[in-house]
Amino acid sequence: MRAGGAVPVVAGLQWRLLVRDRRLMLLGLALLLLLCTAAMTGAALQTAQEAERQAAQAEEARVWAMQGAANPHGAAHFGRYLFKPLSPLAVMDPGLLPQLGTSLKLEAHANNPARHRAIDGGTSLDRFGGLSPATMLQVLVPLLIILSAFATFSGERARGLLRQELATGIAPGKLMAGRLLGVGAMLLLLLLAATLAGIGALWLAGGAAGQIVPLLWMGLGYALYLLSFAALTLAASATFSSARTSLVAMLAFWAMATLFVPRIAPTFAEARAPTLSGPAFEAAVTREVMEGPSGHDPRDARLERLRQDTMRRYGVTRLEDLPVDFNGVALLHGEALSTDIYRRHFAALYDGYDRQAAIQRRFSLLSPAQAMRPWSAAMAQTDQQAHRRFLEQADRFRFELVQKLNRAIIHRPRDIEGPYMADVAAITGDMRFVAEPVWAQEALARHWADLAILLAWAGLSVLLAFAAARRLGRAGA
Amino acid sequence: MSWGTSIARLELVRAWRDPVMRAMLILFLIAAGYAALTGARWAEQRQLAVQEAVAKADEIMGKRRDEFAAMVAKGEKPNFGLIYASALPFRAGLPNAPLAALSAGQAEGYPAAANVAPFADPWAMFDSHATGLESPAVLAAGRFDLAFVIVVLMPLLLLAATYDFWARDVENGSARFQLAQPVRPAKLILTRALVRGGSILLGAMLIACGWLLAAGGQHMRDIAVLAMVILAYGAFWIALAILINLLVRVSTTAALAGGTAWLAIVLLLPAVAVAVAELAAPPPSAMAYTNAVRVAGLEVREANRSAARQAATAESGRAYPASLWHSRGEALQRDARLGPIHRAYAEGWARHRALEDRLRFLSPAVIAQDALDRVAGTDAGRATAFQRQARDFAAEARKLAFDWMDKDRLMTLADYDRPLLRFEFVEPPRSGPLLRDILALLLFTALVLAPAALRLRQGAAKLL
Repeated sequence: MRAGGAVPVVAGLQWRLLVRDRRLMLLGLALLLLLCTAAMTGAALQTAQEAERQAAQAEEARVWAMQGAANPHGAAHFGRYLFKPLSPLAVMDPGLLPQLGTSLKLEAHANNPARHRAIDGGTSLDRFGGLSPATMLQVLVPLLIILSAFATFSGERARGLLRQELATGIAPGKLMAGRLLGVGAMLLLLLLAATLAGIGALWLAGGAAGQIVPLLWMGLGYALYLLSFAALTLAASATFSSARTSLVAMLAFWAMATLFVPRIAPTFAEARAPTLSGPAFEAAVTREVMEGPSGHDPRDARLERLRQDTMRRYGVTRLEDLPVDFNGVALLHGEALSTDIYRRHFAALYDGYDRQAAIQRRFSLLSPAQAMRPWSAAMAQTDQQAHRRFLEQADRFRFELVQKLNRAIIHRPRDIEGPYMADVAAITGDMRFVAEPVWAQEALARHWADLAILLAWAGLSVLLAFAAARRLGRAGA
Repeated sequence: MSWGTSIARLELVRAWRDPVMRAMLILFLIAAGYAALTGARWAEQRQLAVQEAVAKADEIMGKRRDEFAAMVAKGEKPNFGLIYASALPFRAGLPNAPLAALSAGQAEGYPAAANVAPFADPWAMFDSHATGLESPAVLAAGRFDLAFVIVVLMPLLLLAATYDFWARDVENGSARFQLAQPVRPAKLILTRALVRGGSILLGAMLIACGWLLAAGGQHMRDIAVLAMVILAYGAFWIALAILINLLVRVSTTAALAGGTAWLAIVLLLPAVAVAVAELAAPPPSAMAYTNAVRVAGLEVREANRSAARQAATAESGRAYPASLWHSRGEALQRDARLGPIHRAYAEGWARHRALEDRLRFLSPAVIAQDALDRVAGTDAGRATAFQRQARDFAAEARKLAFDWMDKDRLMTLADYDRPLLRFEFVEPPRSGPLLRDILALLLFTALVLAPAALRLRQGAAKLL
């Protein structure tokens, strides 16, 4: 046998061994079936949810118009609701969606957090979470890889086959390359099936063709992630003399990498970079609204200054002589100030989340899952960044809506007795909120480090596998 | 010395000399310690957040009192916000249970405080506390608390200690020698499993309870219940290890079987149960509910539009102005109109929760989690009991305001100096559900032990 042609032969042999192992094939097919079912049912559910969301959003617009003649400031308090659209790629990886609110009340004076999270109102069962295609790829497929490959070298060594193989003169590195190619081909097939299931689910969920690109990027991340597990398993199999030891070592690594580190890292990050609780956040914002950003500019003093400035601008000495409604002017300025304060506090909160994410990323030294999870969720647009973008867009819309109503109060007709009532639907008729999704390039730019970490994990794991193969050669000699 | 004692002593020595066991126990000790620490920190922060939310009412009342006193001192009449009972602010808060550090449970999925106002919709009073600002990544991963260590890690510790306690001896041939001794096979195998698994379980239980005590959990009755839950849950995993060892003859296969069982019980079954609950009894649509409440609210407002306009300028001839008398009537109309919508939404959630509660019996891991959440007071039942009690409190607050209106009674300085109404949370009964959880765990143990007993009855030959 030519040494150069040995790698495909070994790879073919490994492939046949894997295919002929009925238990593994059954497990693999069951997992694939489960993955496809999860993707397709997820797509069907998401299609129904999106249809319901669109209907609810249309109904919300009707409710807003139902107010008829209303006081514009009262209408600003009645507010509007935005129901967050779902990213079609959430069928593959729901990411943080269950933990993020789905509806947002837009009203005067307040920048509300999104409410109605999927995790709200549940029972102890909900603490265990669901099973999405991403969970399967991140947790179960690595386990399948370990079960498929832990005995590759150590099992053959126990049966005396390894010595025979090495006696044919094949270089241990080529033996390892062939085995890696065999396992890799199986992985590639599985990922191909998962990607096809993803494209099908995307199509079912009404996704655009452009979303196939982030799906492919996601697939690349998973390929590197799973390659790391495959190479590490082969390295363990080549290093340990007994299959039992390599299995126990790899199961311990799997449990640490996919279950414990992902659980410990966020808790640790939160302790290292704490963010404000809901009541503390609200108290900080209220304090600043009441006492001014400097802390020494109380609201009454600000209002008096505004009163004097407005009268000076219009050249009058009494509020009654103003050609505009001063209440509207006060509301306009108050809204600008409170919005600015809210935006600064929310930006600080989101930056705190980012700091926590950076701390969590450091745990990717212990587990590639710490890079895989954010990468996958970012590509699926189901991460905190995508949510932040939605909330910031929504807040811009809220601000414009409230200020438009405040301007209507400022320029209200002066000859009307009693409270000012106006057709608020007509005033805000030209305003429509359209959420702009995060572009794949933006997510790529933000998360390139995660892909680099996955690449490093895959590269180092492959190097480790070949280093273990060299030792295998020395031991065989 | 009897055979039973000899077997037990020998097994204890073997377990103690196993370096993997010692390492696993030390890892468990560290993990449980860290979990108790993070749990205690979480519980403290939550208690602070609730106190802060509740203290807001006192803060508002304190400011109003100062304003009231200043106006009276200047000889002015205090303005309407200071004298009308309808403007009284109240707060209700859900305090931590004594062992809250044990498990975050479902606490973060429910509001822990309520803003109560006499004229406000009693179903909307949780709105501003419905969503905290906890890091979504932490919520997604789940808190690293003692409950996680007990439900997820402890089974791994027990399986690592027992997964091949007999299979390994069958594989290396020493089982044949052991069965040749004058001792019943059932006694031999069960004693070995109980000594090996039981000593680890006892150690894990002491570590978990010890850390919780160190983290400030002083309620000994709850600690005793926690110990019972740990022992019942651990007994199930030891029983499972016995069954695996009786069915499998190779150490590696026993490891695979144990790992697969853990994966199925801790990850897959709960995930399937969640999916079943979502499909069979999905939670009601929050979007449809929001729109329905807004439409109904607008309809009530529209029906009262002209009356409200008239009341704004009318004279009531009483201590409270006509506009407040009108608001009182409109609030009652609104509640009557919105009540069925709120109740239908709450019933939809109750149906979803009821199904999830039944589905928990599919997996011992979920049963154990449920029991630990109940011991910690972070279960859904306690959270919904708080909502019911807070609504009752809101009804009391409304009654007080309405009584004062009826009696034309205005706020005085003395009213500011005494607490008018205080919310006190009454712990709901939990012994029934806890007992059910513990019995269910014991039933699972018995179900696993039954085929093991059958196997043992087939004679020594079947054990090799």
